[in-house]
Formats: sequence, C-alpha cells, structure tokens
Amino acid sequence: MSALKRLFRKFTNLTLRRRGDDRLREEIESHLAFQIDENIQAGMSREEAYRQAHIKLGSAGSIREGYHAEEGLPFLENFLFDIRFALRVLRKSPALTAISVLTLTLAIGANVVVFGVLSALVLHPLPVPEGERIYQVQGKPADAIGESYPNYLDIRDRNSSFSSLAIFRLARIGIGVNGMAQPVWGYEVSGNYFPLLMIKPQLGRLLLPSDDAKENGSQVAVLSYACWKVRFGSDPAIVGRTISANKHPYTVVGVAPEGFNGTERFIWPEVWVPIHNEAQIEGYRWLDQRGDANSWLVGRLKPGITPQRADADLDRVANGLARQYPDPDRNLTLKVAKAGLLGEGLGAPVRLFLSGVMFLAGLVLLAACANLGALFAARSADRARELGIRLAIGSSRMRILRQLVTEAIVVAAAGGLAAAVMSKLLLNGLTHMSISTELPVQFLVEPGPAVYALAGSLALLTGLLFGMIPARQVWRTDPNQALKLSSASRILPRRFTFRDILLAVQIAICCLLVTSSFIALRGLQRTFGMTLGFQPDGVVLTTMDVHLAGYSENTETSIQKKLLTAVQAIPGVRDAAWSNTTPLSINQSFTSVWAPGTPDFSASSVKFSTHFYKVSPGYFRVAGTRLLAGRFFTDADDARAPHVAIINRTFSQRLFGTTNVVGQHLPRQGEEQEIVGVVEDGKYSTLAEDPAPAIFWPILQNPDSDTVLLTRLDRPASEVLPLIRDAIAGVDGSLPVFTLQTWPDSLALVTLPSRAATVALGVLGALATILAISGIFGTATYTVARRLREVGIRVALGAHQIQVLRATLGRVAILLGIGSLAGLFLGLAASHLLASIVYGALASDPQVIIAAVTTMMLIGLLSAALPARRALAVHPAQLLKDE
Amino acid sequence: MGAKRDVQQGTLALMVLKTIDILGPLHGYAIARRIEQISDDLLSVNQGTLYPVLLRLEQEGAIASDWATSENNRRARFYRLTRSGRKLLETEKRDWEQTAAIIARFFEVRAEDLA
Repeated sequence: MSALKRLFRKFTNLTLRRRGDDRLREEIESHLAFQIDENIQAGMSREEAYRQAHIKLGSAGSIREGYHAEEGLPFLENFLFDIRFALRVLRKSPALTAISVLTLTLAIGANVVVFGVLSALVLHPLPVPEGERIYQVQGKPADAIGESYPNYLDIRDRNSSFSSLAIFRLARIGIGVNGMAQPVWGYEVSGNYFPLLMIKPQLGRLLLPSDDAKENGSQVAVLSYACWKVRFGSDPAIVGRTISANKHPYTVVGVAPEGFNGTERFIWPEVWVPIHNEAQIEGYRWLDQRGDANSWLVGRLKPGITPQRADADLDRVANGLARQYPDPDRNLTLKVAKAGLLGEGLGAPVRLFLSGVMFLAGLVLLAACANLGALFAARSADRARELGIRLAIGSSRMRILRQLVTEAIVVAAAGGLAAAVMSKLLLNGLTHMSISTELPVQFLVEPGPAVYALAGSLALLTGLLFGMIPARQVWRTDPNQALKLSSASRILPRRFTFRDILLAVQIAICCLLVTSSFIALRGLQRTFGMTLGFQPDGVVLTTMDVHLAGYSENTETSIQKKLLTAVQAIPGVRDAAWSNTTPLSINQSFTSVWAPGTPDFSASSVKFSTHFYKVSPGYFRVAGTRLLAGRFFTDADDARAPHVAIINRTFSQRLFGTTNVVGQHLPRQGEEQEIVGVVEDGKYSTLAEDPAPAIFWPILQNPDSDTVLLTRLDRPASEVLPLIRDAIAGVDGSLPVFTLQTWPDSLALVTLPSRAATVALGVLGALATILAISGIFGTATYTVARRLREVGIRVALGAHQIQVLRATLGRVAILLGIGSLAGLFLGLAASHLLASIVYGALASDPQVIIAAVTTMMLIGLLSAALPARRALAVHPAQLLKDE
Repeated sequence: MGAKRDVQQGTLALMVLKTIDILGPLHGYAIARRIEQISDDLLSVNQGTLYPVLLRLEQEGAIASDWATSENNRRARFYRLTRSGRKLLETEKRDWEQTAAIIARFFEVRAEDLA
C-alpha cells in the first residue's frame, strides 16, 4: 500500500514539476555546516575543513541523481524527454517525417482493414452464446451444402457429436403489412433451431419444437429486429398480431434480438417460420423427398467434441445412409464446416482469399518497414557525428539506441493513429454498402477492439522493427572515427550491405504485387469480354412468384400470360419472356440425365447432372442465346403437345458425341422428350466454370410459379423500369415483385470475387509501388550524396557520363534487376492461387509479363531520375571548393 | 580506517530507523554521525547517500520532518519516527533477526551434525 502511495506521490511530483532541489540544497548546506564546525573543532584550517566536508559528503551530482530517482519516475521522465527530443528532431526534417508517417498510415491501414474483414467474417464465431461450437453439416465437396429433410432426421438421430442439430431453408415470403404484400427473405426452421442457438428474444418468445410438430400445424412467425423496426415501426404490441405470410394468416409470437441476423453472415432473414409449414409457404411439399437436398443443417457440437471427431462420426452416419438408401444417398458424404458462410461453399474461398490478401498486406507492411528502416539508417549514418559526440561525452550506447527507437515509435504511433481512423471510416463504409443483388446480402464488419488493438500493436512493432535497423550502426560507432572523419569521406563497403538487401526484398515484394495485380486485371478483362451464352446488356429482370399472390397451379399459367402481354405492350420493350431462373443467378437447379433407351433409372446409371431451365418461347430471342441447330420453342409446345427439349452444345456432345441430334429422344421421368434444338454453351453457375451441360424445357409443359420475367429494351432501362412496375401492378396490385433490375446489375454478385480481388491487389500493388519508388529514390539519393566528392574527382579526371552513372547508380540498378526478377517469378508462381478466385488468371500471358517488366523499369527510371541528374550535374571545381 | 563496506540500501534504511528510534528526532548530519559511531567507523557512509534514503522513508510515511533549531543554534531539518515507522521498524527487525539466526545456524553447523 505504501508502495502505491509513493508511486502516487511520484506521479504528482512529476506532473506538478515540484522539484525538491531547494530542499536538498538546504539539507546539504546544513549538513556541510555541521561537518565544517566539527572539523574546525578537531583542529583543521577553515579551507581544509571545508574540503574534507565536501569529500565526506560525496559528489553533489550523484546525490542529486539519487535524490531525484527517489523523488520522481526517472524512466518515465527520460521517456518523455526522449519523446520531446524525437519530436524536435522529426520537426527538423518535415519531408522525411511526413513521408514516413504517410507510408506507415497506408501500410498499417491496409493491414487493419483486411484484418477487420477477416475477423468479422472468419475469426469471430456467430453472435450467439458459445458460438464457436456452432457448425454446419454438409457434404465433402465444398459446394455440396444442401441436405434433404429425411436425411436430416436420420443424421440428427444417428449422430453422437451434436447436442442438437437443426435444419433451415431460405425462402421468399410475401409478408402482408396493412394489406400490402412486401417480399422478404425468411428462414423455414425446425423447432429446435432457436433453442440450440440459446439466444434470448427481444420481445415475446422464439419458435419452439411444439411449433414445428406437424405439417401446417401452428402458423406462427418470429420477426427479425430490423423487420420489426422498419416494417412495423417497433410496434410494442406486435406479439400476438396476425400478419399474412404468402396470404396465410400467421401470428407473430416474438422478435429476435437486435444483433442476431440468422445463421448466415451474408443472408439476413426478416422472418422465421416452422419448416413443417413448407407446403403452405412454398406451395410444394418436399419434407418426404429424400433426394431433395435443398436445406442447410446447423448444429451445436457437444462440449469437448472436436470437428475431427464429429467428421469421423458423420462418416459412419453417411455410410449407413448410403447402404440403407442407395438410390439417392449412394454418394452421400458428410462433414462439419464452420457455420455462417454457406458452410465450405463460401467459407473456403472467402478464407483463402482473405488469408491471401492478409498475407500480401503483411508483405506490404514489411516492405514499409524495410523502406523506413533504410531511410532511418541512412539518416543515422548522416548523424554519425552527432552520435559520436554524444558517445564521447559519456552517453551510453543503450541510451542513444533508446532515443533512436523512440523516434521510430513516435513516427509509427502517428501512422498507427491515422491508420486506425482511416480503417474505421473504410470498414463503416463497407458495412453500410449493400451489394445490389437478388439476395439480402450484407456485410457486418464494424471494427471492434481487436482491430484497434491490432493497429496499436502493429504501430509499435513496426516502430521497433525499423527503429532497430540503425541499431547495428550505433553499436559500431567509434566516437574517435566519427569525430575524425567527415561523413562524406567514409569509404563505402564493396559488398552488399544489409540496407541493399532490404531494398532488393522490397522491390521483389513490389514486383510480386504488381505482377499479381496485372494477372487479376487481365482475368477481369477476360471476364467482361467472355461469351456468356447470353447478352445481358439491355435486358431487365423482374423476379416474382405468382403463388405468393394466391394463384394456384391452375391459374398461374394464365396470369403469367397476362403479365407477359401487359409488359410487351410497353413502348420501348422489344420482347419479353418467362424463365424459372436465369443463368449465373444464385438460384440454379440440376437434374439427372440418363442415356436414351436405358431401362435403368437408378443413381448408378446416371450419365451426368445438368442445369435445367423452364422457359417461354421467346426466351432465347430475349436472352440473346444463339441457336446452333433445329428450332426454338413455340406457343404450340404446350401441355397438350408432345414433350420437347432444347439442349446446349456440351450436353449434346457429352451424351451423343455430336451436335447433330435434332429429333433424338431423351428419357425423362418415364416419358420421352424430343430434342428440337441445340443452342450455344454458356456460363451457368460461375464465370470460372468449365463448359457445363444445360437443358431447356417449355414452361408451358413444366409450369412454375416462381419465375423471372426477362424484358429486352430499346430504351434506357431507367425510363422503362417504372413502366414495368406499373404494368405488373395494373394486372394485379397484390403481386409482390422481388427484384426489378437490369441483368448486368444482377450479375454484380457473380463478378464480385473477381472485382474484389482486382481492387485488393490493385490497392496493395499501388502501395508497394509507392514504397518501392520512395525506397529506390532514398537509396539512390543517399548513394549519390555520399559519393559526390568521388564523382567530382572522376569528372575532373575526364570520366564520361555513363561511367559516372555506373559508379553512382550501378548498384541500385543491379538491386532493381534482382528484386524484379524474384518478384516476377513469385508472382507467376502464385497465379494458380489467384485462378481459384479470378476467372482466367493465367500466368502464361506475355502481356502480363511485358506489363510487369515495363512497370518495374518505369519505377526504376522515375525514382532514379533526380539522383542521376544530381550526379551528372556535378561541377568538380565547385565541389572541391566546398571541401 | 581499513576496508570499508558498501552499505546496502535496505540496511541503511533500517539503521536510520533504529537510530531515530533510540535517540529521538535528529537532523541528517547527526544521523550520519551516529551510524558511523555505532558501526565503529566500519561502515563509513558516503554521507550524501543518506538523503535519498531519508526522502524515501518520508514518502513511505515511516518518518516525518520539520525545520527546527539545533542545540548549537543551527537551523536543520529534524526527522522523527511516525507510528507506521515504528511498526515498520518492528517487522524489519524481526525479519533481520530471523535471517541472521538462520545464517548463524548455517555457520555453526559441522559435518558430523548432519550425519
């Protein structure tokens, strides 16, 4: 306790600058007086008494130091002194300071932003109690995330790893608020979904197992906090109110807590309903379809069960199911994956991408450290005289080192602070950005304490790192040497120095990033120039589900026909067509293909799986898909006509080995279908996919209520969009329109990975380029300055310009060459990593190599031009006079 | 005067406390002299080192000080023991005696005693 009291006293002494100097002086005076009296009594002369008294007391300086040590906090005082001195030194070279701070701001900021995203999306578990034990159950292939309900029941009952396992499915639901149908996204969930998440409701209660006991049993719903707030104005009496969900009355039993946005990080539902009401909500019963793998499983691992043990357990369950139900489950595999990013479907690429970018950002920071280290080392070499004097008058090396490191940390702290502010703004921007797509995609990447802690520790670390680089110099400084020789006449070492290696590493990092950016850029360029198998420009997509407005299977075809006619009548609309879904949208359906004439329709005899689309006759004209052989569908291909199909080139080649297949027949669910046409290939799931098979059926023969209305326009979309909305409302005002946007806009999500990668690489590449330029510039300027005298003599002796340049900048050029070569090879080697994110990221692209080499040469020229001019402008007479 | 020993800081503080305890309020010079006398000049304090120790003890609240006039009419700062200083002295003394006793036992011990 007394120690605490003392510390407090010391702090007040420090802050109040109360010095005990006066008191000590009085004490010493009185002490000496006593001693002198005594000495005189003992028979000494006055002078001798005075001298002896002083000797006995000891050095006044050391007493004062001991006294101050007791009085204040010498460490802190020295530290404050160091900081004051550092600020003064840094103010003396404002350009250097500004460049250093800016460099660090950008480099630390890049790391903090990437870490912010990484921590929000990957590192943090879902925001539910003990969220780190929440896992998704999915198939072994990364994108095999869907499971069927009957399989879910078996997995739930047979596994021994999960304390609870729930199933949920994303569904579009038309919520009736005050008589108006508003389309929202919801989750259909099993009754144990909320209990296993262990969250507390904002209002009322959450769904219980009893709500999900039987089909269409209890028509209850839970609203999300945002839905309650925005759509119901935070109505405190919402619990117990009846709302309509797809025209069925549902009772609101509760509101979910504010921070809970479902178990998927990107797809935020507004309403939760029991999954047993699936027939009512979706108009389609699938709970008993073992082959219908359309839902996602999420569960809580038992305490102490590792994911590895759960995987082994699930292997056993999957093997059992495959034996028991060989038809749909023959190839069933199961494993656990972190919940929140569609299992591994999105989780694996997001993790890979973010880790890659994090790594690159780390490299940039390292380059910044190398750069600043070299800069500070160069400066401390110029301060050799100052350091020499300080050593000569008795300063310890440790003390000088501490001063240099303090300077570095002051710079780093300023950079870190600026970086924290910058990343806060950027991350907030990201959080509020909504990507225009058909899904409720949202990021939540608000910076938390961990992010700021990272900014702080990175600043400290970089400060220490580049502050330590000049340390070796201080350690080797010989005060005699430093004072005797003026800095300019010191001899440069022949071999490569530590500083040279730093520069080469930095150039290599820069070149690696530049190369990667070019590869990504070329990939993106290819993406936009590639043939998609359709022409999205000038097409508007309107998604809707007439079932949500109460139309049944008997009436949906006629209302769709009415809507089509109404939209086609709009001036500026060239043509319109229906499709159940469009290529490259998130909603893709697959079906199995069997060989013609086969009697065996088991899972083992499936030839391949194909995308399928149900389209109206005008679809291919509107979408701009070219016909290779045969004919398009006509209005005559309706429910009464024989079943027909159009296939794409890949389908045709794969099944028949030729595209000359018009008139051939394909088996389908016990019936035959005639192939009437072959169309060009396209992209269906992702831009990066290999050519995939697709089959098209007439929507009149395969009715669907959940559809997309494609409209090809002659006029700008902005003029026609409101007219389309009006036309639809004119047919039926209660029809909820989910999305109404241009086709290119709706492809934003597909090109998002490519664009994100290109932007991230571009930003980091630009940063690294700036760093490389300032690094080369710094080193070149420094070398030229150091050798100015030598150059002067050479010029006086008749050296040519080229010789002058070789003497001064030769080493920098060699470093640039070595660094660039290393970076180029690394960049090309890393391109296959990039290929999984960016479509068409090819290493063997001469344009990429040419562009990268040109950029590096430009960087070299740009950064060495000024120092070179200075070297060439040397005037021997002037120079020698100066010395 | 022979070889003199460096006085450890903690030891010096203990000596200061004990000196004031026995002799009542004293000024710095008197404390220094007493310590020299009691230790038979074996421990000749570099007298200046006393003042940081006095400051520390005062900050800890073990002693308090005031200006006063000495017997030969010189103004000086007089240090006196406080209550908590007396307590501190007691514990320090006990600790010291314990340590000394243990060390003493180690020196007395012979090989045959441990057999």
